[in-house]
Amino acid sequence: MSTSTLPDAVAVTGLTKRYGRRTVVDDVSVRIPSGSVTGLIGPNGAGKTTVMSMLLGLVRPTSGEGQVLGHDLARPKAYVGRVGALIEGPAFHPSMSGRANLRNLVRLGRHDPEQIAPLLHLVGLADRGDDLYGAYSLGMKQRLGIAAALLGDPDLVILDEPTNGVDPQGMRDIRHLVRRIAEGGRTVLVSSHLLAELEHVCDHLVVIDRGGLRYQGPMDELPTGRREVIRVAADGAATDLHDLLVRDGLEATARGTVTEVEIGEADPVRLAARINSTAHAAGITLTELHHQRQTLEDRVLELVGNGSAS
Amino acid sequence: MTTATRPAETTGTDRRLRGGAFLAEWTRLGQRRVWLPAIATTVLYAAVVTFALIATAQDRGPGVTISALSQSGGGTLAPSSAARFASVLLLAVFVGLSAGAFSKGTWRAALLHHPGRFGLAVGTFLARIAGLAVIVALLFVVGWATAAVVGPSQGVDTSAWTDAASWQSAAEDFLRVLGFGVGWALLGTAVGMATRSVPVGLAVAVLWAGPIENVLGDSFAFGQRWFPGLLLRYVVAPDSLGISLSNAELYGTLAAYGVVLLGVIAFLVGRRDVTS
Repeated sequence: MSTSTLPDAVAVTGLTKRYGRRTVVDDVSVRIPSGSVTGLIGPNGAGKTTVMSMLLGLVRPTSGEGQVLGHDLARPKAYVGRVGALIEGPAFHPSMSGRANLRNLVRLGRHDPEQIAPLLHLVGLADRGDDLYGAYSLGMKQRLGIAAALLGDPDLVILDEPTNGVDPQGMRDIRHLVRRIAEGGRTVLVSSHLLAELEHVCDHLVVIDRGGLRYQGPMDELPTGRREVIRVAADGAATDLHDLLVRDGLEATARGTVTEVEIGEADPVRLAARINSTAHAAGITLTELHHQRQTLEDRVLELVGNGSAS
Repeated sequence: MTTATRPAETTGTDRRLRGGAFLAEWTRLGQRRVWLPAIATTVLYAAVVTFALIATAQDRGPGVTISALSQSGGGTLAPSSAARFASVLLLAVFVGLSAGAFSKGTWRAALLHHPGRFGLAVGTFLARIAGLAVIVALLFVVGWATAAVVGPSQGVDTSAWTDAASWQSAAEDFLRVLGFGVGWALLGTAVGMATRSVPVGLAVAVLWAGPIENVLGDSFAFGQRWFPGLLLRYVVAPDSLGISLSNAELYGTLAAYGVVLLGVIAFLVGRRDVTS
């Protein structure tokens, strides 16, 4: 997905935005590798949309500097033509069809009109392109917004909550869509309140909270607050199972009827097999044996302290 | 997911960013859903108001009279005067267009494809003014035709309406009405951009153009001299002028207001964050 030797698509430092005394974004430095799919995560009001708006030149930073697609952040006119974005929700003229709205944006940005049909097809609106935008469902509006973001074949695509208000099927469609957008080597920056969605598509993460940066880097290097475990249970033999695993040299902790075995540096699959084999040899039948992974949500929640990451 | 990555260098960015705002807005206004009601309203308005002005015209005196209508250029006198009653409508339309673009997010969406804010604002405004010019032209055509049909039955002599002086007068009337429209358009655009809310913008606009301009302004010499709506009214209806004001003073004041409004709009376009 990523691993580029090219300059970062986005490299900004000290990004700050204040409205009067209220600091919305506080000294955030963001680096987005070219070709990566980067998730922008943070609780509601963390400043995600403001960060994206500053990258797009819609909001003027109070301070901060850097480059977007090799151009000075302070001169968005120089690079915004190569950035496609869906930010703060889709915004189109309700009395025009989806296709007519795209055509209007093509005129506005001097894009290639031949892109319209393939983009409508890509976002699954080929059959509904001539319907009035005002008659679209929320999911269809989001998809049209993504199509609009892809006009002009941008190098950097910024999607702000693209799954907002979309049903589970629509979320899956948009997840696939984000993957397809990235397939052309584009850099994608996406924020979502559904961390599980980002877990499936992103390779980099930027985590912000209360306007400040909490983490940025590869997703698999996101700090894990607590160690991962294998949960084991055996009907009516919880104590025996716990004692057995401890005697076997494993770091096991009894939690009611369940025993949790620390994975540490071990291979979880091999460790699970070992536990199963040990229990079987001792005549204990396991009723539960699974690797309890930390989800992205768990890890982000630990990072930002409390509240719901979104 | 992919191994290929795109170069971060730019190519032809400026070319891509150039222009398009006028064409996009002009095309949007060219939708049947927009122009059909606009044309129907204009035709109805021009016919009804012209008819009313001629039917109620006195033989002599200031404004639209049988005597004035019977002179060279009389054919466009009534539609020209009819425009004065459209001030609040014009203001409301332009407040709605500019504030609506902010509240609906279409200004933000447009900026993502045309990041040159001034170019976008100027192109969009010019397209709206071009649309206004079409509407004004239609107002004159329908008004003239209505006057030609109704006038003779009211004692208006239309024999001088097609001489060269009449066409020159028609062109002047057209430009004065267009100037009147551009003035209200600038006011409406500034109010819409400042408030960024259609209901708030309309409330401010109607309050100003209604009671403040017409009740307060008309009642005081200061208002008659300085209130922009009244000055614009004098442009299309000089007979409504209740104080002594030369053309130089009238157009000089309006030009100054125009510069101030352009400055306000430029500031709002260029400096304010786009957060909706």
